[in-house]
Parts: sequence; C-alpha cells; structure tokens
Amino acid sequence: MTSLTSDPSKWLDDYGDALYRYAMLRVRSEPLAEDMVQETLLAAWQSFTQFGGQSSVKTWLIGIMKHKIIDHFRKYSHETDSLDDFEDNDALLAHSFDADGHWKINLINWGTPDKAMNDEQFWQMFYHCLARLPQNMADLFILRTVEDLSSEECCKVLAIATTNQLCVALSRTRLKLRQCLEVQWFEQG
Amino acid sequence: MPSCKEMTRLLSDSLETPLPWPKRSVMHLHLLICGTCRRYRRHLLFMHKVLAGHNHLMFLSDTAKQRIKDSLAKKTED
Ligand SMILES: [Zn+2]
Repeated sequence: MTSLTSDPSKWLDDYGDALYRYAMLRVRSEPLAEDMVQETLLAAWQSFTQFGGQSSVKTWLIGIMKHKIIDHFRKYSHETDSLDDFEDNDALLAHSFDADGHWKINLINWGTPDKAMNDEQFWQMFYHCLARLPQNMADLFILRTVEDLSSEECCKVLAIATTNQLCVALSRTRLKLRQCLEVQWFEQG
Repeated sequence: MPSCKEMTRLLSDSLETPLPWPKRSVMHLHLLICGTCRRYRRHLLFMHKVLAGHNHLMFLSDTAKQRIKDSLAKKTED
C-alpha cells in the first residue's frame, strides 16, 4: 500500500497526463482540458479527507474529473447534443440484424489503423463520433480503452452495478461507435 | 452456435476478459464461417488500436504542468 499524501503537485506528476487525456477526448480543447486538470486536482485536495482509499488515487481523481466534465456539459448544453440517427440501441440493432440475428448490413473493409492514425481528418471524425455517444458511453469507452481502468474501477467511477452490465454497455458502445465511424468516415472515403 | 447479433457481445466481452472455453470455442467456430463477424472483430480491434496509438500524443506540456503547479501552490498555500 502506497502512503497517501495530499500533495496535488505529486498527483499532477503521477496522473496529470491520464486526466488530461480523458478531458481532451471529451472536451477537445487544450486550454479547457488543462483547466479541468487543475480544477480536478484542487477539488481533490479540498476533499481529500473524504477519500477513504477504497479505490486507487487515479480512479478517485478520474471520478472527480468525470463530475467536472458533466458540469461543463450542463453549462454548455449545446455541446452535449447527442442526437443520433439511432435514437436507442434497439433501433441500431434493428438496422443491423435480421430477425434471426444475422447481419443484414455489409461491413466495409477499414484497412489498417496506421493510415487513419496519422490523418487529422480521421481524428476530427473520431472525436465527432465519440461526442455523439451518450456521455456515460463515451466515458466508458475512453476509460476502458485509453486509461485501461479495470472493469471494477470502471463500475465504481461510472456507478455501474455489475460487471455484466458493464459488458453489456461496452458492447453497445462499440456497436454504436463503429456504426458512426463507418457511415461518417469509411463510406465517404 | 451464437447468432451474429450475439457474436457482437461475445467479441466485445473477449476484449474485456478471457472467455471461458465453451464460449470461446463457439465464438471461434462462428468466426470461421462468418466473414462479416470477422470484419466486425477487426473493426473493434481497429478502434482500440487507433485510440491507444493516439494516446501517447496527448500529454500535458512541461509549461502547462508548471503553470498548473504554480496555480495549485498559490491556491493551497493557506
Ligand atoms: Zn456472424
């Protein structure tokens, strides 16, 4: 067990980049993401006495940042606009599968990630698709994929009751994100 | 044999945790005969790889870190 210190500058050294990545993927603005890191660390310092050590410091900080992001979107609600071609999961499933559960759409060959990875326009589209996910779905995908938070830690941060629910949500998120990328990017190219 | 719809869940789960062998074997069997699910799997891996590759490009600059440190020091000193 590492000793718990309430030193925000140490937290910045250890987890600053992780917090920054999370914020960047959600708000897509460097100055704003930097501000959010600072606000998160300050809020953490102020509420350190409430940190019981049930989760890792990183998870605790990410939980605080999650609320900062929610607050941000609440204030600037036009940015949360997650209107979608598929209002809910059922609509997307009905679009994708026939009654027997077989694919009824063609999936495009996406090629290798290397090319897309270096393409600024691809990233704009990726952010766009991330932003169109419901907030909790976007958080889930980012925290699992980028921050590699364990299932248990993800459940804690996102208030998901069971690992099974987490797996259901992740599967839906991937389906939805894939659909968006395919339509917005690969069908155009 | 799982349907393609059920496969989306299995393939997603397999990225989370090693599946128990009965599930794993039916998943691989389905993949053998279904090109669309193979492609779906590649798309899932694509999304992970591309984001993981992007990862190291996103970090706080030294100046940003220093700025945040200075500001935190000011706000937490009293
Ligand atoms: Zn299939």
